[in-house]
Amino acid sequence: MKRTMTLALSDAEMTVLETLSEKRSLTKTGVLRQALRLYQMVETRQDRGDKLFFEHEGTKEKAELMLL
Amino acid sequence: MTELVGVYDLWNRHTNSFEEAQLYSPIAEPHLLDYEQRWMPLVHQKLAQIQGREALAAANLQDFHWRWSEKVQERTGDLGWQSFAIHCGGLTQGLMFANFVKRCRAPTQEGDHLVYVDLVSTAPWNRHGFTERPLYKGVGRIMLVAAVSLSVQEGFKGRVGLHSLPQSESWYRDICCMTDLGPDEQYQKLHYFEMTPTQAQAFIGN
Amino acid sequence: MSLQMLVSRDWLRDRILADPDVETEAGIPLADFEQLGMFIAPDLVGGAQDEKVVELKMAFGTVVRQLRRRDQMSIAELSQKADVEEEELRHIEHDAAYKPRPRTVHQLASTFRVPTAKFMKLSGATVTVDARFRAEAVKFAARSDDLSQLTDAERRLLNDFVAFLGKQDGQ
Repeated sequence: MKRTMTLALSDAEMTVLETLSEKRSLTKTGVLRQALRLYQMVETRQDRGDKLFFEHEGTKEKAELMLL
Repeated sequence: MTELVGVYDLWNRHTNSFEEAQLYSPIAEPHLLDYEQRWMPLVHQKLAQIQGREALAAANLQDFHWRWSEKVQERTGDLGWQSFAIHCGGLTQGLMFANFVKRCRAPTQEGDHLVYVDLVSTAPWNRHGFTERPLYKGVGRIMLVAAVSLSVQEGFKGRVGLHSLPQSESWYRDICCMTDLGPDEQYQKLHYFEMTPTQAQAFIGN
Repeated sequence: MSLQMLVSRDWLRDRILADPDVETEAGIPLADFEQLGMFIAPDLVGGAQDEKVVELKMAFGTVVRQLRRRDQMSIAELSQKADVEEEELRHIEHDAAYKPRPRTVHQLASTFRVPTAKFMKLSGATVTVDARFRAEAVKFAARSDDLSQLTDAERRLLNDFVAFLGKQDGQ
């Protein structure tokens, strides 16, 4: 069952949304759906006590995403 | 709340006829119960007969012993996951978990979105390595079609990824015509397979 | 979100009929190898496990020896009770490089009433990435001593470790 929502975005936000949408050939809704999934995952993991890191492929350098 | 995705058929090898099967999403309590109470006891029984590793592989038990209820609980309500169950002959015959937040590894589509099949498993009585007379055929086919359909619906153009168990490699490589990206060191050296949009179209029969 | 399947029921029937009779299983997330217990042998995994496997095997040898002493059995007696080779028991208790047969590990687990899956992990017969499990095992082995009679302290230590092995994962 689908529920509809109207979204008000700034120009900057819309630009980002459009760029991301084009980059991976997703609809804007598709991008937002993915964003929501990732956001939820981050929240769940954080609640569990996990930390979110970026690791550079080449150097293996880790940078923590400071969410708290 | 579990929903009926559709009504299909599994081939009963004993009676040589099709039997009606229901595809549900997500996995629900009855499916979990079947797993715990019908699938697992047989696995335990088989386990008692097993000696060496060769015998284990032959007995086809590599994908068992999942703590399903834990998995399902963790993943219920998690938007990144969708699960499926096939019901036929009064029992759960197959289970699948699909993930939405992974990305492709194949060079031609690196970084693109895909549906990653975390697990597809059929009941022990349907498996060659497990029993002399496996019962139902078709769980794998129905589940992969579901995964591809899901991928298309999400806007991922039919891209699917999975780690095949050794005994299933020829299915994914030669029948489903997925790309074999070789053994994954990060994943018990299981072969990682990916389906491109072109392969997906061919698979669905376009 | 409800799924729209891209094919018809008839299409699937045709394909299933034509499909070869082969296995189609996929996926075992790493965490669940813990639960697979007996199924996976270490040589399916990359080489980095070796040193850690030896540590665990030392703990395995120690716990088997301590349990045998607790129950006041000689190697011959345990060999008979568990229906395993004496030679193998000697190797298990004293040779950390020795890789015991899964059946032997299973028999010992049965005899001492320890969860088989845990014994499998300790003995190196199966893979584990559980750091806490390894830490507990190493701690236990380090504190146990090789005397003919278990002291009270050793008995307590052994009981604590066996209780730990008996716990469900995550506790």
